[in-house]
Amino acid sequence: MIRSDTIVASATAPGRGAISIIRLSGPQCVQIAQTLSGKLLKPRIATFGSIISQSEVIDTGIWIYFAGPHSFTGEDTVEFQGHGGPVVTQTILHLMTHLGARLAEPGEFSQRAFLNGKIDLTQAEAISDLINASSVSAVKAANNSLQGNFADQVNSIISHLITLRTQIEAHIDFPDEDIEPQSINAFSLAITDIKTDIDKLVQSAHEGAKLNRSAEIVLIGEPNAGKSSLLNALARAPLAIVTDIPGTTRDLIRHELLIDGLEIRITDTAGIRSTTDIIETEGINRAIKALQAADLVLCLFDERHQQISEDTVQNLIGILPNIPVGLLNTKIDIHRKPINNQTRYPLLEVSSKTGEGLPEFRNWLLEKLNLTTHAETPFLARQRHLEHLKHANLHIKAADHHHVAVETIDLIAEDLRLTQNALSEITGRFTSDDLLTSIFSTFCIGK
Amino acid sequence: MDYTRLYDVIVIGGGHAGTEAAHAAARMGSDTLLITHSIEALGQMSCNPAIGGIGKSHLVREIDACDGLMAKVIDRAGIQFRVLNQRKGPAVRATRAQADRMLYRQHMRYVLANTPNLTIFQQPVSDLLIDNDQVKGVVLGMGLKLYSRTVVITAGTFLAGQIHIGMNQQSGGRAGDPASNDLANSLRGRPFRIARLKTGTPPRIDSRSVDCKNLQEQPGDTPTPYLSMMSTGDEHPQQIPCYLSRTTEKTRDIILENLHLSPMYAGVIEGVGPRYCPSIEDKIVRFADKPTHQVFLEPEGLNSHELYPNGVSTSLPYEVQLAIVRSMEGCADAIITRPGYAIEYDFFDPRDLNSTLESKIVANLYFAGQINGTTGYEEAGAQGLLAGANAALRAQDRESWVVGRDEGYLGVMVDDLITLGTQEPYRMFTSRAEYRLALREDNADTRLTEKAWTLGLVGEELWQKFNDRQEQIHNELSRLKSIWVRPLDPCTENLNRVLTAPLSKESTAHDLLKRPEIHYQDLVELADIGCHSDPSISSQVEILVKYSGYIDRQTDEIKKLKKNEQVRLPTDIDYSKIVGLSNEVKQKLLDHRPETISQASRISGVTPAAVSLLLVYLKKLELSHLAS
Ligand SMILES: Cc1cc2nc3c(=O)[nH]c(=O)nc-3n(C[C@H](O)[C@H](O)[C@H](O)COP(=O)(O)OP(=O)(O)OC[C@H]3O[C@@H](n4cnc5c(N)ncnc54)[C@H](O)[C@@H]3O)c2cc1C
Ligand SMILES: Nc1nc2c(ncn2[C@@H]2O[C@H](COP(=O)(O)OP(=O)(O)O)[C@@H](O)[C@H]2O)c(=O)[nH]1
Ligand SMILES: [Mg+2]
Repeated sequence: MIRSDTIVASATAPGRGAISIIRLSGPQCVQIAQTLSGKLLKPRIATFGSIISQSEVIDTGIWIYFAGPHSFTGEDTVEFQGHGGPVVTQTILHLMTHLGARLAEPGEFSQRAFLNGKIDLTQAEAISDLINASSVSAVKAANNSLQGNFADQVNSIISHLITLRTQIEAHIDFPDEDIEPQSINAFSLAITDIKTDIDKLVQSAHEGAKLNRSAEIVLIGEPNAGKSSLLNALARAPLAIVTDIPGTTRDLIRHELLIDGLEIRITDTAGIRSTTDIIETEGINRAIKALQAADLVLCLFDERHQQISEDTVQNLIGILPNIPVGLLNTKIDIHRKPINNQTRYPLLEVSSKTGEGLPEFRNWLLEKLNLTTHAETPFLARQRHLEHLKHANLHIKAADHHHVAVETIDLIAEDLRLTQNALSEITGRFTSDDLLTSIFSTFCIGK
Repeated sequence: MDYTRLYDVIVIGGGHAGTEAAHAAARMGSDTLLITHSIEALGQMSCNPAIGGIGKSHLVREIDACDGLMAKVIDRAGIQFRVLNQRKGPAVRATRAQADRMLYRQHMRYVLANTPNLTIFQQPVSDLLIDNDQVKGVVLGMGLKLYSRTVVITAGTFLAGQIHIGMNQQSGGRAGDPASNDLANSLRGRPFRIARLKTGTPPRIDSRSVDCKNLQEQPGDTPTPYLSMMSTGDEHPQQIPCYLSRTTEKTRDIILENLHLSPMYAGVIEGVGPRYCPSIEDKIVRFADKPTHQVFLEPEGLNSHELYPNGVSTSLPYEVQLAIVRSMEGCADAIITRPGYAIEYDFFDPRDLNSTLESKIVANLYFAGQINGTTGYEEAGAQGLLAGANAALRAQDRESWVVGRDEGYLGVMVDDLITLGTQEPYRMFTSRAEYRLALREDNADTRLTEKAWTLGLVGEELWQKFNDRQEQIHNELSRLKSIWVRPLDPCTENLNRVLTAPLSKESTAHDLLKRPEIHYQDLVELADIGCHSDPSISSQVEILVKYSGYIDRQTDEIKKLKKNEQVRLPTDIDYSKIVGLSNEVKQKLLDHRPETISQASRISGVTPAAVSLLLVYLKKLELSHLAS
């Protein structure tokens, strides 16, 4: 969407390097940077300064202001190069959003650059691909953030809010109907309850925000293709049971590895094949779920395959657009037959037993995953969710602040609408028609 | 009617959309011809004899702000006026008037008959003349062809209208009027997307057969409100009350026993009805545990003995209708004068229209009213105004007129219809308007009159009045800003009793008014600031000051959206070529054919990422255009 607001994001890959760069773009960026640094920024001049919040130095580093249109995005842009560390970076991002910036959507800087004519036509497809891949990763990450307790609480707040809005809007739009008269007092209590719930959730979500920010990889392949063995080889420890009876791996086995500072989470799945075994079927279902959350899928083939076609791959993983796929020829210590690869995916060769090909495979893996540094992680998604919750909190506070009365019901309804809009950013659009549907199914209304 | 003439605008249908459309075009100086089945039925209220109500009165005021008809006519034909939500905050206040059906028709016909540039002709229209995807005129039932630059269709519930009473079905446009089958057939033969909707009406009751003694009386407000800016309140006829009756347990039993005779429940009716105007059978089935439902008994006119029982619309057989009516409070001996019925009719998918209500399929052809999937006189009238004005603009080769979602309920309605389409007859509610606080009944003129004036819709008299009002509002605001109240002033002691925190530094009256606990009247009484002689001006000023925080924020929101509204999507855009869009989104965009990025973003299922892809694609088109 064309937005004239100011966006912010960390421009360095998570968990790497000693310097962290935070980039702001949009009309308010200079103002935000000057407020945080207390320094006057001049275009293209590096200014040394600290970020101070509540008389505490958060980080010290260099500010650079690029005045639009002579910047990467074509808008006013400010970069802060600090010492990084995930906690510091998060704190700075939070301070900036508090001053009016918004966490950038993945790929949004490049998109602005393109729309402002800073990137030429030949890049259009690349930008489209980027938007696509980012939005797929964003959806995945958001799903990962929205799980368990957190999701339950968000949903419960939303459902209370909808109930309240249904009553208030019915009260407004259908005054002549014989709807149970809801007392203004009840509205007021409900508003306070919702406010308290959002407060609590923001609090607890902050404490528990140590969400995993690792990349997700799924190993998939026919039974006995060597998935468990590869996992063990990468982990350098026996994690999965390795046997030669097909269908051994019934459950999902996860392991987290650190390769070159990058956290990677690998899931070993039951091979996908038709089976009547209930437990194994369950395992396959879980495999399909894991696939949907993956950043990269690796398909394993052993000597039973002479050639791999697109169909072979599709049969294995179903249709999953936009997820990078890699193919592995396993057990090369015993067969050494090259596989005829007729797909568009890269094919690598490894032996889990001898370790042959493993270093190359690791490097390839790293490269693949680094390419997706602009991708959304569950951690970032949670930050985003928290920002929306805080916005919702501001609006519900405004509603609570009005002495709730009949005369101000239109203003309260507006505050509640804005609260809902903020929450909708987490769980999806709630339209005025959805609201009417709720009114008509709750009350008997009509002439 | 001069059949050799090339008219600027031909309007088909003299209902609520048609009358506003024809009058608007004629006001703008276009040579206009209104063709309708029956001149006697001009402005006929097919159903409920009432104008206004929540959300709807906003539309009436918007029509009035453009110098249209509906408000002026109802002020002369209304027999009971009330302001709903009086205490609930200005944004949701709404005026509703009970109409004398006959007076309404009379005044409507009188105004139209005396409108310069407007010719009225009685004939059914049986076909459109279309050449090269452009409308050229109409064919009349008697075979004559008439030519025009533009055509506005407002055929209401008449297209292939089918009336249901019990299992009995008849063709009809509404009770007592013929359906429009020829026109329906010829339109079905063209590439429009057409579907069926249904609506219903209750039986009418002879007021002399109802025992009102024990029913609660509902009088109108005093002083009697009015809807038009041009009115003074003196134009009202005599005012009379309504009565409130209720259905009983017996009503419920009767309906449940006879449900199989309802054409809705027997599956005879395929059209979808409005959720908020459910038939009494619907209400009983869906809310089975509700023992009684209220029914307003509304007089149909000063010289009529008929009552309209608001709340018991039904299409059950006549015998059952009679039993239902007689089971209601005060109606044991009631006599029915006309049966209730349901009607099914053709409507046109409004997604095939652009925001001027012109068809995307046939140029110079405009659609307004019930045929666009709406219900209600006010919804029809407002669309009629927009379509009529745009038809005139086209005929005069002038730029078209679009009303934004931030400018009026008219804009909200049209945008909802053309971007989302509708699954049921669409009725206006205030909750549909995201800028509800800014779109009030009391400021329709501020929002629309100036624009309407530049279009030529507004007469000299209204224009004077409007400017005068704006100036008074402005002056009163300045006056309040210039009055200072200081902590040590003698009046401050009084004032402090009302303030939540005592006055600590000198403030203007304007600043004081911003505080939620202070009303204009308090300032007048406690701070002795004097008051404006016209209460409508002082209340306007009070609202402006009190709402300013909210309205400023909405203005910001609107500004952000404006950018997206300005990015137009070319009509010939090939969505299949856009890399990365999912098939679902492509299909949605194909079905809806949004005109702007902003519209696209409101279609359900069109994600922000999809919108980004659209933007990138547009930019790409632009760049490759520059390159070549
Ligand atoms: C049974 C019934 C129940 C209703 N219930 C409700 C309700 O519950 N709530 C509500 O808000 N609204 C209700 N309405 C709807 C309300 O009457 C309409 O919304 C409103 O009248 C629409 O205005 P319009 O101008 O679009 O069409 P109409 O008022 O229907 O006017 C159409 C006009 O076009 C003329 N016409 C049609 N075809 C031709 C032709 N081929 N040639 C010449 N003239 C033609 C007709 O004679 C008529 O004058 C109901 C209507 C009916 C009939
Ligand atoms: N020689 C050799 N055997 C292997 C290799 N990888 C796996 N195997 C054997 O192949 C069989 C199936 O391996 P496993 O990892 O359980 O396959 P999975 O079903 O895909 O998990 C076992 O007997 C392994 O010992 C390899 O690299 N070399
Ligand atoms: Mg295994």
